[in-house]
Amino acid sequence: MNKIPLEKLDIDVYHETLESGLDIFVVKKENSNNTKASLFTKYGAEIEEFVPRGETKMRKFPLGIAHFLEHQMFNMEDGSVPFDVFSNNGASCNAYTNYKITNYYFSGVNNVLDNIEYLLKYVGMPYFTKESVQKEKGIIVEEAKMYENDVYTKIYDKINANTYKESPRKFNVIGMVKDIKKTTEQDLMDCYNTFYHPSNMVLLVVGNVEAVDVIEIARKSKLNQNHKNDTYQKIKIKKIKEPKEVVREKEIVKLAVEIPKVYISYKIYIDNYSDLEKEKIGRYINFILDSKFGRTSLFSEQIKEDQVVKTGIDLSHGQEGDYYVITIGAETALYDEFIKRVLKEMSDFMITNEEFERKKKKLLSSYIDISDDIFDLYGFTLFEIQKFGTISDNAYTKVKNYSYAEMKEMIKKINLRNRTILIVEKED
Amino acid sequence: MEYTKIKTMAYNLHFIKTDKFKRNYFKINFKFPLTKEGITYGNLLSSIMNNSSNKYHKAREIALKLEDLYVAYYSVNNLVLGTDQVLSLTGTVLRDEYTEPGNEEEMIKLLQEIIFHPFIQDEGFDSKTFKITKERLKESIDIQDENPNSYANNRFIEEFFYDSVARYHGPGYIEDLNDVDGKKLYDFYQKILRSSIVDIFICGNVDIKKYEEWFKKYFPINTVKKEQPSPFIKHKKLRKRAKIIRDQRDVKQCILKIGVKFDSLDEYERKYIAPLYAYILGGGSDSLMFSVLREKHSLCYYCSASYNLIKSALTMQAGINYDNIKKSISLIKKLMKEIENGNFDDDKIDKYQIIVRASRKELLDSAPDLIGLYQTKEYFNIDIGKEFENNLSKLTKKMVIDFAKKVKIDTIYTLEGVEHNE
Repeated sequence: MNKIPLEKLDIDVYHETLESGLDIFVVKKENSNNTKASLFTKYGAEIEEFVPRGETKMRKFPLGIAHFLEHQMFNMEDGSVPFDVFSNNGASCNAYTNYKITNYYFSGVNNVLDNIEYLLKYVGMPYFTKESVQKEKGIIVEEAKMYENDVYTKIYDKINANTYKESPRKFNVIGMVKDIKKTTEQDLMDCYNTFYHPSNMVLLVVGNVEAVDVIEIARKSKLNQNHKNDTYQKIKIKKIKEPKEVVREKEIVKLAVEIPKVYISYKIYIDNYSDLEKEKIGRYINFILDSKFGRTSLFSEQIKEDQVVKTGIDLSHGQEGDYYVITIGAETALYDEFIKRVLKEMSDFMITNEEFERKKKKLLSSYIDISDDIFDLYGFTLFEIQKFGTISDNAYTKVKNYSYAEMKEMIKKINLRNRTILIVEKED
Repeated sequence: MEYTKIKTMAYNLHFIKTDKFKRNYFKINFKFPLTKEGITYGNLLSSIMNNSSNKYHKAREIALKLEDLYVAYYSVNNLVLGTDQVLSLTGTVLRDEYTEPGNEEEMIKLLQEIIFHPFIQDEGFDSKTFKITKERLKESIDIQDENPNSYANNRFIEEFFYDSVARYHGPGYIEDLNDVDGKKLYDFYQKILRSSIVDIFICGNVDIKKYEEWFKKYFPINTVKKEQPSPFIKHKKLRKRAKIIRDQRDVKQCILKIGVKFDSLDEYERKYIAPLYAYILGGGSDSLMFSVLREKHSLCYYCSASYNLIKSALTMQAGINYDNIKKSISLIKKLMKEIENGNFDDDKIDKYQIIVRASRKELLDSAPDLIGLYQTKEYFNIDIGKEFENNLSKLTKKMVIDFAKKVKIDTIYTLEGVEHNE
């Protein structure tokens, strides 16, 4: 078991990899009543085609199957309902699927070790029948329709469809109704057997628990025991060649909105960098965007004073697969003016040394209080594990060492030419 | 953790002292009786206070100041709590030991600036700031109908709470917005300062004496206020037969809302039995609605029931396909009947007690939640500690069955798609 002290936080993380390959991270927060634990598989909606375990050829699966599988995992052979089991133990559980992972989690103050044991049990025991799969289709179709009611989900889907040409990211995580309907229990089992192998999974526990107890429970779990003698097999996933260009540079759509909206998205290829460099680039881009469009920016002040935008600027950015995607949006009838001003601001994608130091201080200050709340701590550690496969013991120093000269050098190399603009007008 | 309440002539100071957090958290509440136009005015005022003051004329200057205080934060919000309205400032700052000496006091001075020194010109709010804020609020009011859930909710509360102030929409009203100018809003602001009940909550590892002095020094509140009447919503008349409202718009999934009101519950029923009833009917994944509507009949992805203590009302909701509306309503009615007949597992009471105890324990991990708990105690006299535990453990199945006889549907609202596609 490795101990990783988290710098400046008075928190230690304990890490162990079991015989089966299951990675365990226990983040010990002594003064916490609550515990959050999650078991996730590195399998999300961006994986569409792969070689199923025990087979030799690539096979394509229905879109949205990772999410469908997440729903089915709550079906237990003994008739127990995971929601009820956690709830009886004074905890609440749930799960989500995104493009990268499927994550099963709970949080609660009582019977934490029993809950961890049950989490490993229910995610480790697939039980799908024709009936259960059929029943779930109705629920998932209703879930898909719930999102279709939401105009912002439609906009998000549209931006993705205009950004990605080949990647499954051009579709939403749930998939289309036709895909949901054609999913079979055998498809689900093949995905399960391939991706829910412990060597592809991580158990993360944040709270006042002893790491040795958690590791002991995980070691005894069927998920570990059933696979402890397996030879490691790398999962072969079809590498999708996503072009650097966007699909469409501009689209105007009509939706049920009261006020028109506009979104300018930049698709920046970053796969030629190491994970550490990718993290740094992300931070530097964040510094620049925050300085240029955030609450402290002259741009934000001016655009509101001129009444081009009334409520504010929507800013989102993050790494999505091999790309870093930035979206700058607003609700405005004067969208042409907004686009003109954003493009002008983006044409000089740099800030002053003073602005850089301000944003660095902001990031360092925000890091210090992560340990105030187990959910923040959980978010931070989950992010680190996903990004680096482990949790850094020098997150504070890493930021402290960021330099203006390095930022300038790195930002100079990124390409901001690939962008797509979405304008949402009011339906007639 | 230790709670101390200090009453001064002008305001109450509530200290929740704990060494769990590196930040200190504040909530400063000005409470006054709710009116319809007060909602719009309060929204305007909170927005102006979030974006300007006499010293910092622009939002950007405030944002820079907050960053200088090692990412301090504050937000002024206009809250509706029963028959009361609260202009509420929440804030947080990293303690001096993690930043530099004077950081905390600087934050208190900033809060003073925001609350007591607005940007005023010619006895009204600065006209440019006022105009921008007014336009922003107009857009927020216009935009609320974009989201079918918010549209359905507004329509439902208008019909369901037709005879009380609970029917008002949170963002406010265009007619009230058109009616207000910088001068009128300044009068409204001054009245709030003059006649509100003021409560200040501070949570963190604070030196109580020091904070007492700071508030005395920086917060010039001097008026003595009278206590206000009960903040609980009272319903003048309950419907004998349920009112059915069917709205139509272009939605893929229908939204169903069912409302039940109560006019004669005693305190124990309001605080303990009604929430338990809501939990059994639709309080979570092991509720009757979830297991029957979603798991047994695959009718929906979400469905729930919740009880609102302040409004004395129970609301059930679900997102369902058009063809299944009637079936869903009839199933919910059937489930209500089942509870009345005692056809639910005896262990539901134990489970509810476990969940409520656990969630109370969870609150201790979060400063904003702790402040929320003591705020609810102050305004609505909820039980805390031993009193809460004693009352919670008294719950029985018979109490739920007796209560169920009082549950009568008042309003059924559906937002249906224009075309009934799948």
